[in-house]
Parts: sequence; structure tokens; C-alpha cells
Amino acid sequence: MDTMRFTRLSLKNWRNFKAVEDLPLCRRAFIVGPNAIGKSNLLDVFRFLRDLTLEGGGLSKAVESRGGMAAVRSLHARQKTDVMIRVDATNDAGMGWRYVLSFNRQDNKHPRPQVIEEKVWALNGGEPTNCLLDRPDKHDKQDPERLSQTALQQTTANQEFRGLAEFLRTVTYIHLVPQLLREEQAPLPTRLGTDPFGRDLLDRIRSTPPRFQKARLSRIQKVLKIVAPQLEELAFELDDVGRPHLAAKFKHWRGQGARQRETQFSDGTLRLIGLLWTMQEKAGPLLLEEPELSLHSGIVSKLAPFIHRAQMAADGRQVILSTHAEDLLSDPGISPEEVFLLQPAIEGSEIIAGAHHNQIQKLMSSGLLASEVVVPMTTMSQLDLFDRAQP
Amino acid sequence: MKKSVDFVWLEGELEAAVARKLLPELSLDISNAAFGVAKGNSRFWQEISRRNASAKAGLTVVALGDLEQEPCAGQLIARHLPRGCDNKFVLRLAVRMLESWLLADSEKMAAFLHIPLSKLPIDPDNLKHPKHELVRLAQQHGTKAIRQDLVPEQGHSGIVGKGYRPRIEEFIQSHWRPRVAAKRSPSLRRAILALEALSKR
Repeated sequence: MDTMRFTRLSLKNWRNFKAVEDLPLCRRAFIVGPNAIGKSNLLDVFRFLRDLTLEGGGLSKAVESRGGMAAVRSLHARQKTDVMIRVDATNDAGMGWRYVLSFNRQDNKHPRPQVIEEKVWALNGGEPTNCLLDRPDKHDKQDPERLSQTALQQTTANQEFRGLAEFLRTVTYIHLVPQLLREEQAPLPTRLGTDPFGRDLLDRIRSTPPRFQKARLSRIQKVLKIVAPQLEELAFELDDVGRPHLAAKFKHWRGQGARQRETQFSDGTLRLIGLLWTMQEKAGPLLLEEPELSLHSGIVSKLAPFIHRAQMAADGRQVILSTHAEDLLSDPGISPEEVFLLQPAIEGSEIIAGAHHNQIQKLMSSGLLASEVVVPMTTMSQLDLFDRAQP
Repeated sequence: MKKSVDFVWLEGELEAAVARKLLPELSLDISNAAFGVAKGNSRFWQEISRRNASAKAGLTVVALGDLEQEPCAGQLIARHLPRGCDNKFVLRLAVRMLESWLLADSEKMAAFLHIPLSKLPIDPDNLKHPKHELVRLAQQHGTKAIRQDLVPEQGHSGIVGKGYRPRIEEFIQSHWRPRVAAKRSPSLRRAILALEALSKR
């Protein structure tokens, strides 16, 4: 398999993470933690990198669309207030790139972000071989205005590592919100690039060549048949004014069945369709926000090996997901190396990689499940007060 | 007439698959039974006295789990149920793990893993860690597809691979023969006897 994926991540002052040191990421990653600990903020790093590379994106837009430097930078940043992101992205053979970006606001008068440091290395066997970019360089010194942009976003500047930019561009985030998908497809003000809440799912289906579109929908239909046997003949169609829809036949007592569109599908069905579709897209890492929502616990407990099967199919994409669900984490095939536990720290949140945590390693390699080991670690220390809180 | 089981309490999903296969073969009707899956050894034992209490209250309850590395099943059960099991509660443990019951149908297991029959253990109940053994067999002799599912990824410290549960579940559902396996696994043989006795009670 030659699919590129993120293999390492380090952060400084990113949102509520003051420091993340060299997190090893594998093909599947499960980010686990209590509410409001920063699971979405962690996934957002990868979306941020994608936003840098999008048309109409770039550093200023990516920062601005997140509410400016004040929102992007950790509240706990002190003297060294630069935000730093470092990722390694390689294929299975360890060929790929390392990308490092540090940025900060220009100065107090000019709040827009500026590049403090930007570096790209070529990686071979996972190790850096040669440096392809090292900024600020002499051109930046001559014209500091250049530092308002990353080299990643400029096709003229990223010639030697365009593959990296292309990889980052294929990062997909889904947090399908059925209510929004059901709304008419009027263009709503969205954040940069692809729509975070899955409203563009129907457009993505539309823009897929008919042959693949049909094959993918037919695979989805097969899964739906298992979990929602009353839905048949899932198909893509355009309405009178050319808007895209999904339609299926809903079997009922009349025998004929009724034709339904996505606006009438249940939340669970819609989320499952979104999940199944994106799993089949040939692309870079897929970020899934709580895929368990509105799904039956029986299905949730089968999601982890399902993702594995999808990945074993040709060019399976990396999946980084956040979850609260014990059921999802109860599969015995989840290894400690795939688990990332978010915990409150003295300043902000910290990430514990299962690979680096002796107790998680010890318990899970004795046969305990991730749900038995990690979920109890996420229980909030004061949860019993919730029982006494006045609603 | 088949004896009706009301509740089946299981350590994991694989035990559930075994129960679905095994119980109907022993004249136990599970069509109305509720299946509770503990999803882990700790919760399985935490709830065991409640399952026994349900039997005391009149339900027919079956529980399946693993002995794991405990020296003696009797002592382990006595620790959790000091007053013993109710007459309508059958609690059986695989020695040492469910996988020994599966390896015990050696012909089907060899065919399923695409490995030579001679590689299968003769006495799976005597294995210290049947799960390790199954994974080891898959790793040394299995096809690529089998290895991808059953064997942990290189550098990962989990016990089994990412596709282990569904792959083994498929084996139980479509291939495993409990009565054949019982010839090689004394703990399965005893479980079958106990369940048969329940069906006649």
C-alpha cells in the first residue's frame, strides 16, 4: 500500500495544547477524552494544514476563520508565544515529508499572522534526508511581506514538495450533522474549503464519476440492508431544479414501498451513509468526529474492525477519530498504540499516547480492552457532583 | 420440548457467537433469550452475582466466560459466588480461553486458517494462552488476508489483529462444530454436559 498518512505530530501553543511532543500516529487512531478537553481541537490541526493548501485558503484565512490568533494560540502560552505545528507524512516505506510551521501575529498593531519559521524535509525510511525549504530565507529578509504566506500555499514556491501540499489538500473531516444535510442545499456560510458538517456530501457524490458513484452506492446499499432492511434501492438523483438528492425505497405494508429522499432518512441512516461514502473515497486522512452519534451500539461496537476492512481494501485512507463510546473501544483488535488519551493538565490539556504509557500497555497487552482501560481514565474526577447539580 | 433460556451472560462478542451456535445444538431454546455482553473480563465477574440472583428469581440463565490464568475454576467461582450457583444458573468457563474450544475443532480450524492440520495443538485446554497460539499459527502459516486480520500490526503490542473479532466470529458461525471440538477440549465437554443437564431439568 502506498497511501500517504500522518505518522508524527508535535505542537506548541496550539489551542488548548501547550505542548505535544512527537506523537506517533498509525493508520487508525482513536482520540479519547472527556467533554471539552480538546478532541476537536486536536483534529483541527490537520484541517488547519489542509486549509493552508486550499484555493482561497492560506495562512491568514486559516487563522481568521478560526477566530484569529487569539483563538488559535493556547491561553497558556507565556514568553514563547509562537504557535508551532510539526508533522511527518509518509507512505508505508517511510518516504515522504516533514513539515514545520511556526507563526505568530506580526505585532500588536498588526494582528494578522506571519510565518516565523517554515521548513520542509524529505523523509526516507521515516528519517529526514535533505532540507527542501528553510524560511525565513534571504528573499523573506528582503521583503518581509512574503512572511504573510506559507510556501505551502504558493504553487511557485512549493515545486519540490508539491506532493505534500496535494496530500494535505485531501484531508477530509466529517462531522455529519443530519439536520444540516436535510436543509435545502442553499450555499450557507461555511468555513474554508470543504464543508465541515457534511452539507457538501451530496455534491461530492454528484461530482463522482457515474461508474464509481454507482459502485459505491451499491456497497452502501449492502450495508444498509443489514442495519436498516426496510431501505432498498439507494440511488442518487437530481430534482426538477437540478439539486442533488439521495433516494431510497422505504418498504412498508403497502407492498409497493414509498420513495424517500434524504430529508426523510433517519439521523442514523444519514450518518452511516456519510461515513460509508467517505470511507470509500480515495484520499488522504479522514478525520471523524464522534462517529458513534445516532448509531445503534451494536453497530458502534463493530466500527473499529469495519474501518480496518475498509483500509485493507486498496489504498485505504488513514482514519483519525474522536470518540466517547465504550462500545467503539471494546473491540479486541484495538492496540495500545492506536489509542490517544486526552487529559486535563495544569495548563490546558495533554495527550497521552497509548504507545508511551506503561500502564495502558501493561493492561491492554494482558488482554484488557481499550474500553476497560482507557475509558475509566477519562471519567471526570468530579462527576459525582453532576448527580447533585440542579437542572 | 426444548428448554427455554431467558438470559445469556457473556464475557465478549466471541462468547456470544459460541452461545448462539452451541445452545440450540443442546436442545436449549434461545429464541426469546436476552443476550448480555460484558465486553470484558472485569465486568463479566462484576455482574455475575446479579445473574445468579436472576436465576434464583426464577429465570433460566447461562453464562460463558474464560478461566484466563486463574489456577482453579472452582475457586474462582466460589470467590464471586460464595453460596454457589443456583440450580437454574449454568456458568461455564473455557480453559483457559474460548480460543481453546475453537482450536479443538482442529480440522475446521486448519482449513479456515489455511494451515496444515498437523500444526494444530492436540490438547488445546493445556495451552497457557490459546489466543496467542491462534495468532501465532496465523502468523507462521496463514495467508496474507488471514494475517492482516488476526495478527497485530508490526510494532503494536496488542494481542490480536484489527480484524480478529469479525474473522473469528465468522469461523464460529460457519465452520465450528462444538461436538467435534468437545472430543479434544475437556472444558468444552464438561460445558456441554452441564448444558444438557440444564435442558433436561
